[in-house]
Formats: sequence, structure tokens, C-alpha cells
Amino acid sequence: MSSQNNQSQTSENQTEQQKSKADLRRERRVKQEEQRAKKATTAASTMPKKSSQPEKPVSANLKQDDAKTSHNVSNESKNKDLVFETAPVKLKLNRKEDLAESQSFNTKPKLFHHFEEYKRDYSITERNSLENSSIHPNFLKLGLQSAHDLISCSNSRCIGFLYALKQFIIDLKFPSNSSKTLSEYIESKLKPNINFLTQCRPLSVSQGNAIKEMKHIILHLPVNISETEAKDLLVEEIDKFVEEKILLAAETINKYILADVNSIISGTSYAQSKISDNDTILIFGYSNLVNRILIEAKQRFQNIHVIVVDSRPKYRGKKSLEKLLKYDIDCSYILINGISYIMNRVNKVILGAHALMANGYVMAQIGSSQIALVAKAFNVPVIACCETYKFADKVQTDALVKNELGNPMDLLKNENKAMQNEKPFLAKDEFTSQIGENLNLLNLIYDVCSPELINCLVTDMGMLPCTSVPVVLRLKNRDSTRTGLKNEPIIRN
Amino acid sequence: MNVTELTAFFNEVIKKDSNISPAVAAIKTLLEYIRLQSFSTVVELRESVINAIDVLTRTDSSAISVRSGCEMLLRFITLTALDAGLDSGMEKCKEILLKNGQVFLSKASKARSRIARVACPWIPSGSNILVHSKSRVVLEILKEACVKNGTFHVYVCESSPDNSGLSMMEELNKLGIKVTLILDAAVGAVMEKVDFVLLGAEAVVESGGIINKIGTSTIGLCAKMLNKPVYVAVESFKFVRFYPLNNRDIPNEFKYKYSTISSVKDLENEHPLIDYTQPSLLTLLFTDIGIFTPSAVSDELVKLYL
Repeated sequence: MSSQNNQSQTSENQTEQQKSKADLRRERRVKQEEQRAKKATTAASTMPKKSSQPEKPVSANLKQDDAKTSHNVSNESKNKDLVFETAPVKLKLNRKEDLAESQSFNTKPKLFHHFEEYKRDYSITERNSLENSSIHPNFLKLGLQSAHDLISCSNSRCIGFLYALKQFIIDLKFPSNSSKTLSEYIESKLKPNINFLTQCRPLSVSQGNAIKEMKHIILHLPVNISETEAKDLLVEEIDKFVEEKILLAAETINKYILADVNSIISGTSYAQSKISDNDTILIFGYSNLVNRILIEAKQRFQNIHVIVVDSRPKYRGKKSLEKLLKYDIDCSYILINGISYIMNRVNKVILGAHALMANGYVMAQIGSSQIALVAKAFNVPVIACCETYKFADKVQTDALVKNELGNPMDLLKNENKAMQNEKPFLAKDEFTSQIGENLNLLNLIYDVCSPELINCLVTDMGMLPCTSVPVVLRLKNRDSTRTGLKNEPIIRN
Repeated sequence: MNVTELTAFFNEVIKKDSNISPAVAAIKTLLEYIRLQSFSTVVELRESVINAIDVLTRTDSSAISVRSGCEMLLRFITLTALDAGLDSGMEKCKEILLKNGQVFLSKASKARSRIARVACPWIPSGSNILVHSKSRVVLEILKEACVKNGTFHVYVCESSPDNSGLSMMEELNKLGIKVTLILDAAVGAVMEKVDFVLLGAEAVVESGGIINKIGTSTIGLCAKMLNKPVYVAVESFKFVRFYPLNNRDIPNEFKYKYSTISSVKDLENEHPLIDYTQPSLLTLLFTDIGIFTPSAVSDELVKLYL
């Protein structure tokens, strides 16, 4: 509803452009003031009502999760009482109202109208009863977790999805008098779950690929298979996917990059470790895979220095830092603004990837492309790490055609403690009223990095130049058609 | 066959045929080794071949060249074991392996003429060509192109430290091709009058770059700066599954002779014999399995090894 409202407002703007700008602004301010007043009163009236409403039992898991977040929030909000009002901290406190508010500000820049609006639509969870809902509690949990950014790494999102799917399949009851076949029934039941997940946060490429693979398996279930057999088979396939394509793949990548000669991988018996003693390695943000590689490298080489580069607004690098320091790795921490100062001391850049495009472009956390570009300028080799299950068969040449938007309000969040005592400029009323009029907020999540900037791509099939992605995709297709459901072992002698 | 016999046989093969590539000589030696030795399992065969390869890389021939040929043979062993099936005996396995080896050798011996045929249209008459060091493949191409397309002018780098450019010049003189010998330091000055650069390679690595006689990287950089195409003529058995990031990433056993590594403590003051030329500096690779862009090399390798 609010998004429609929004659109009609903007069209109104266009027709009213003949009016003097000052007039227009005054009018709008009055209008918005009214709106805000109205909202405040409704919020005040709904707040107690909501809490007094008896909550229907949902699921133990879900409730726990919710309780945890709301608990956190209440603590946080106490500390940061004066902080910027529309920050997502509050968004968690009172979802419905705040969601509407953040959307009313969410006017996208003219060039970027094609992006799907930042939306976290879990309104379904606020319905009174979830007992008859078609959403499985594990999917509800995953959806809420990804909407609140509690799970953000693309690997863990995929694993989360697969485990939810596993529980979903175990809990599924196939009606005896159904006209549908087993696979049709599973698919029809799965569909709303996946839709819900997409509404909470657009699916990651890893999740998309996993869904594709699982659907393929579900659709090709043997015709006369019994319910329990089918369940066993699917659960086994899911476990296998997690085990082989995600966990084992990460291990293999580790071996390739550190040239673990003990496990001779065909044709690379004299491969050299890409990390050597006294290296200074630059990493960006947080990647499970990259951290693991560094931790393993530390066990082998004593003098490794890691430079963790971080960026606003998520500060994912802090998580990396925490993990690396725990393993006694010598670290430096720097924000992306200072990257060109540090780059001449760096030997290698290691980046994690969100996905790989068929034309060799690397999709990664926003800022990665910038890092690769600076590294290229300083002639520092850039290594990208990515499991082959994250290879997409789509082509993309820049980050503007397709991308995900984060919460635009995150960009305005002011983390500066010193400034929090006084009301920050951005949080002042006269400023907020201008949002949507003259201020456009664009919080992109990913960016796409051209293959010329990446020297080496390490996958579980070995080290490749980025341009070899199509060959890998072709090989994967060949394997899956040749062996049907069975997957080829990754390491062969 | 013990270590000394192995080395002696290898050196003999190279001495007998001065045109033979170290990779092919190594394969010949290994096949002889497999023929003479008896093995009870494929794993044992594989392991003793790996040991033999180690011995061969400790001779003073280019280690990377020897390695590239040997990797190919190891791959053959794996495939043969799969082909022969589990129940067939070791003798059968060995037989198939030796037969495959012979097929491979005859293919390798034809590789140069195939490359010459493929590359010929790219060498028009009247062109000015820069070549580096001595490469038998390049020589073969120039020979064929001279006969088919008419003559051209070749600038040959002296290529120290072994001055192999001199013998390249002599060979080209014999063919009646106009040759100018230039100093390695003159590459930048000569580059502007050159139409393209034609190089050989000791190995082609997975990134699509090449490992070749020292000085190649310099030529590549100069050519890139002046926008001259750089062509590389190379047999497909020189493709190796090795991914260097830059020159620093090349292991010492490739950069220096084995005798140098074992006798000198501080390699910092030694001259490396090879360098790595990154794929972005190369235009095309002429091989016996077709003309490739550098990025297509890894595609071929993936197909071969996975």
C-alpha cells in the first residue's frame, strides 16, 4: 500500500513542477508534518495494544528468536536513545510502523528505478495465527534471520536454506487421497516457503543454485517411490550437497591455495603455495572461506601479516578481525578510504566472492571491485576464492543492471560516539523532511568486478583464470547429465 | 635402471638428436624406464615414475620443460589404469601404457610441422619480425613461411647469458632469411620498426602466460607499450597445470639450473634463466591443436585434467 502511495506522490510532484519550488517545499513539509503527527499517535495507540494482544503459539524456535532480537533491541535503544530516529534499530522494535516509514523515504535515484525496492516483508509473521500457515517454522526462522541480517554470508545462507529444507521434508505429510504425485506435492508445498524467503531478502546466487539443484532432484524422483524412501533420498541428497559442494569444496580450495602436496591432485604435484612466509595479505570484509585459508596458512608459516580492510555501513571486517586475532594472526585494520596508502606494502589480495558470472565477472561485497582496481594499479596480484556451486550461468558486466538494495537508512546512520551526544545533523527534523525530495539514498549490496582485475580464481576444481568459468559450467552440466543424480568425486588421482 | 643410468640415458637422447625438446627426451627416458623395470601395482609404478621425474629435473636441462612432459605421462598412467580395468594384470597395463607413450611420441614429433602449417598465414612476406633466443618451433615456422609466403626480415635478440641468439642467426642465414642480430638492450629501440613478435616457450601455464628464456617478459612489456602483437609458438605438451601469479611466484628450481641451486647459498646474486610473461602481454598462441587466445589455455587444461 505504502509503495503505491509513494508512486502516486512522485507523479503528483511531476505535474506540480510548474509551481514555484519554494511553494512546493512548504506544502510538502506541511503535509509530511501532518503525516508524522498522525503516525505518532497511531503508533502510540497500537503499541500497548499489540503487547496486550495474546500471542498465539507459533513455534518454539521462532519465539525464541524473536525474543532474542527484541531483547537486544531494547538494550540498544536504551543506550542510543538520542540516536537517529529512523535507524533500523528501531525498525526491529516496532516493525510495521517503521517499515512504512522507511519506505516513504525510499525514493530511488532516477537512474536506479529498476532495482527492486528495499523491502523486508515478513508481515505474514505478524498474523494472529501461524498454525494453518503454509510456511514451515524453519523457513520462518531463516527468513527473519536473513531479513534482520543475522545471517549474511552467502555460504551460511545457503546452508541455512538446505537445513530448513531438510526439516521441511522430514515434517511433510503426504495426504493419502491426493491426486498429485509425490514430487508435485512437495513442490507445491515448497513454493510458498521459497516465496516467503524471497520476500524477506532476495535470494543469493548460492541459494538460487541450491534451489535449482534440489528442485531438479525432487522433480526426478522415481515414480513408484514410497513416502519414507523419498524422504530418505532427499535428506541424503541435501546432506550430500552441504557436505560435498560446500564443506568439502572449501577444504579443496584450501588445499589448492596452500599447495597441500600430500593430497596429490592430478597434474599439480609441484604446485606452489600461493601464500608464503613473510607475506602481507590484504582481505576485505568478511568471508568464511578467506578466513579459513588464512588460519590454515598461519599454522604453516609463522610470519604472516593480514590487513583487514573494512567499509561502512556494515563493518563486516570486524568479524574477520575478531576471528583472525583469536588465532594469533598479526593484523592491521583499515577502512577502505585509506586503501591506496596501504597497497604498496601488500603482496597479495585475497577476495571472497558472492558469485561468479558466466563471463568471468566476480560478484562480491560492495567495494571489492574498488580494491581490485587499486591492487591492479599497484601491480598487486588479486586472488578470488569461490566454490563452484556459486557459479551462475548468467552474464553481467556491471553492478547496476542487477543488484540488491540494502536499507537506505543505513547510509545515514552515524556511528560516531562523540557526535551522538548532540543530535546529529542528519537526524534533525528539517533534514529528514528533505529526504525523498532532494536526497537520494542508494545502498547497493554487491558489486561486480571485471576479470581483468583478478589474476587468479581459486575454485574446488583448481586454479583458473576468471575467463574459464564457462568451461567449468559446461563440465558441471556434462557431469550432471552423465551421472544423473550422482555427483562426481571432486578429488581424483 | 638406477639414477646414473637414468641420467645417462636422458643425456644420450638429447645428444643424439639436437633438435629434440627436453620434454620429449624426458618422456622417452621414462618410457624406457618403465619398459625395463617391473612393477606389481599401478601405485608402485606411479611412485617410481615420480621418483624418476625428480632425478630428471636434477639434470641441467630446463626443469620446467622436463616437468611439463612428465606431467603428461603421469596423466597417461592414471588414464591407462582406468582404461585397462581393475582385473587385467599389471603386464597388460604396462603394455597399454607403452603403446600410448609411443603414440604420444609420434604425435609430439609431428607437432612442430603442424604448428608451422597453422602459423604460416600469420607471417606475411616483407614483414619485420622480432624473435628471442633459439626456438626450434619458431625456426620451423619461419622456414615454412619463407618458402610459402616469401621472405621477410628477422631481428634476433642475442639473448644472454648463453647467447643462443647467435645460433638462431646462423640457422636463419642458412635458410637465406635476412637477419639482424640485436643486443638484448636494444629491444626497446628496435620494437618500433617491428611488425610483430614471435616467441617460443618452455612452458605455457594455466593463466595463459608463458615461461620462457629470460628477457621474454621485457619484450612482452615493450611490445604491449607499442601495441605490437606478440605470438607464441608452442607444442601442446608444454601446457602445464601450474598457476604463477607473477615472477616472484615462480619456484627457484625453475628459475635456476639444478647445479646452481645446490652449490650457491644466496640465489639473490644469481641470474635467473627464465621468466614469466603474463597473459595480458600475449596476443595469440600457435599450437598443434589450434590457435588459442591466452585465456583458452586453461580451458584446454581443464578439459585434459578434469
